[in-house]
Amino acid sequence: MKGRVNVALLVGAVLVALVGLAAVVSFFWTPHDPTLVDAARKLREPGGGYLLGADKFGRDTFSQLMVGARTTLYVGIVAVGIAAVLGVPLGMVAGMTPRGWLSELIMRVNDLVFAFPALLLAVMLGAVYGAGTLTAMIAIGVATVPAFARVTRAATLQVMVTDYILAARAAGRRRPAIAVRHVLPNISSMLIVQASVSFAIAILAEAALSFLGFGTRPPTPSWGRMLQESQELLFSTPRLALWPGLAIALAVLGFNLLGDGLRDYLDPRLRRIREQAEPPANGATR
Amino acid sequence: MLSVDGLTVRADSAELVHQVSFAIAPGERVGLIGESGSGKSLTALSLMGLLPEGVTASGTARLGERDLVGVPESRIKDLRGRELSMVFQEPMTALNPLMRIGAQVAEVMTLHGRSSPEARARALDLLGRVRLPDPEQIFRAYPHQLSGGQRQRVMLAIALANEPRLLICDEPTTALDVTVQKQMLELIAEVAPALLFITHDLAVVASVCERVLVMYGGRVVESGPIREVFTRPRHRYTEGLLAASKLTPRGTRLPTIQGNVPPAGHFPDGCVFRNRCPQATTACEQVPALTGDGHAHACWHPAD
Ligand SMILES: Nc1ncnc2c1ncn2[C@@H]1O[C@H](COP(=O)(O)OP(=O)(O)OP(=O)(O)O)[C@@H](O)[C@H]1O
Ligand code: SF4
Ligand SMILES: [Mg+2]
Repeated sequence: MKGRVNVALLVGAVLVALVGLAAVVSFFWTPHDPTLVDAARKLREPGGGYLLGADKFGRDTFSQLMVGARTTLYVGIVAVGIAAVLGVPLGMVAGMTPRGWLSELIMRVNDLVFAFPALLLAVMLGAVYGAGTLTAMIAIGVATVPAFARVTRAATLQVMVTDYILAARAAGRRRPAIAVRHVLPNISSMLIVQASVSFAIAILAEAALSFLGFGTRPPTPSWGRMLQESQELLFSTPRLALWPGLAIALAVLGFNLLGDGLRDYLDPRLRRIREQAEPPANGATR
Repeated sequence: MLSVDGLTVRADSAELVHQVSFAIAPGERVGLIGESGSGKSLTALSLMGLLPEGVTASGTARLGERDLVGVPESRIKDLRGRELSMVFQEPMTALNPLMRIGAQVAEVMTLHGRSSPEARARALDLLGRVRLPDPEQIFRAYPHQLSGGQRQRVMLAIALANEPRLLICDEPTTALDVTVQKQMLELIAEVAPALLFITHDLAVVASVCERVLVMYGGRVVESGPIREVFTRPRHRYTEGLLAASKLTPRGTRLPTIQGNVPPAGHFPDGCVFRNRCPQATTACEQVPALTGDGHAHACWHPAD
């Protein structure tokens, strides 16, 4: 396909790929041990093998950022995974039986969860089950379920009124089969977009929770906690807050742009225009 | 074979189709005509059990020994696509855009118990039978690679896949251009086992069907053999429809009769055509019954 380059998609993909690359490489290699505390290197200035310097415990900032990317993606994937696994089927049920009591129930419970602040949920879960990455992921995931369920329901409603669903029913297909064969594939582009936007929100939420001390526990590096630890040095050594802050901002921007770009790219109306550029199957009647 | 008796369709408070009765014998091709909003589609959808949410049907409709109306959906699902099939108006949207044509044709057969190699072989056959050029290529194509006429042929192949006893077509050619339309009609007339054919277009119904039901305001106002109804219409609505069609070129969607079709639920009581009928009298404030064997009409002051 030739044509207008989708800038949002491109920039978003590059940013997300950078985060991904940092995370993957961190499994095999980091410039230094990101958790190694060394008083001799305390607040070391950038340079000489320490690209971005070291923090108040003497840990290498660049290495911490790399492993922090891993934490970020990990939390994002699990949280969005939870949200999708719960939200998509619920949204589909609600969308396929829009007048049923089950649909009513799902959407009301959904509103309830949606009205509940995600961070408060995480703090409560943390207080009961102990703070940590897992608690944070579950809390963020559960809090994201309503968003997924709503988008899924709206997309399902759209698909359900199309003639090919009517035709599938006319052909004798049963509801669960219609859901899997016809509805799911046709709403998947919307879900992909929703996933990338939710991913951005999850990253922010994890950073906020870690900043508040309800997220990732030390010594596991996390961007949010790096911010928190740099707090008292904000004026004397601003770079310690700058780098993780920038990492969070770029990752969030990356996923948001990716979501926007995918929305444009997968938009059925735009897709149809592109398809018309392709030749038809054969030259018969048109 | 199909017998419909007192079919009534309701949405909340409004009655959309009122006491419709007709029968279709094996091999018979019956047309259902009427202006937009007269209840044609709802009549067809209630036979398929595919009425939209919130719309319900009562009365009886039987295909052979099986009840179609007033039974839970689970009891008629096995009939759909097997004994009873339907082709819809919009060929551009009636196929799943993400599935190959062959898979969609084969699916309706595996669904009703055929093995998948057998279904695939037969799907290829069917694509040839509906006269698609190069069936093998079409088999592997996606819907967007086909023209409207080709897609409608695919829909017909799907509808015929399980050798149904009755085919329902809801304006299957309205979205096609005139030459393609003609070929499609010939094909339908040739392959349909028994046919209920819905259209606005009087010329179309005359070329495909043997018998016709004229619907207005959710009621059958006249019915009979095509030739009789078209040459000697009795109901004033049919008369107006025919007169209007002589003035409008073939293929245009709506022949015009003075006045507009009222919205559902706002038809006059008594004869539903009363507010537009030039012959209306006070007698027409009573509901006229559909009377006459063969050629029946529901009008107090029928034409000649
Ligand atoms: N889901 C629904 N709820 C309420 N009213 C409906 C619904 N579907 C259709 N109607 C009404 O029922 C009447 C008959 O509709 P129907 O679709 O059967 O008409 P039709 O004869 O097929 O018209 P057309 O030629 O435009 O397809 C219309 O007035 C329509 O507004
Ligand atoms: S019954 Fe009366 S109003 Fe109705 S079509 Fe006949 S003459 Fe016209
Ligand atoms: Mg219709």
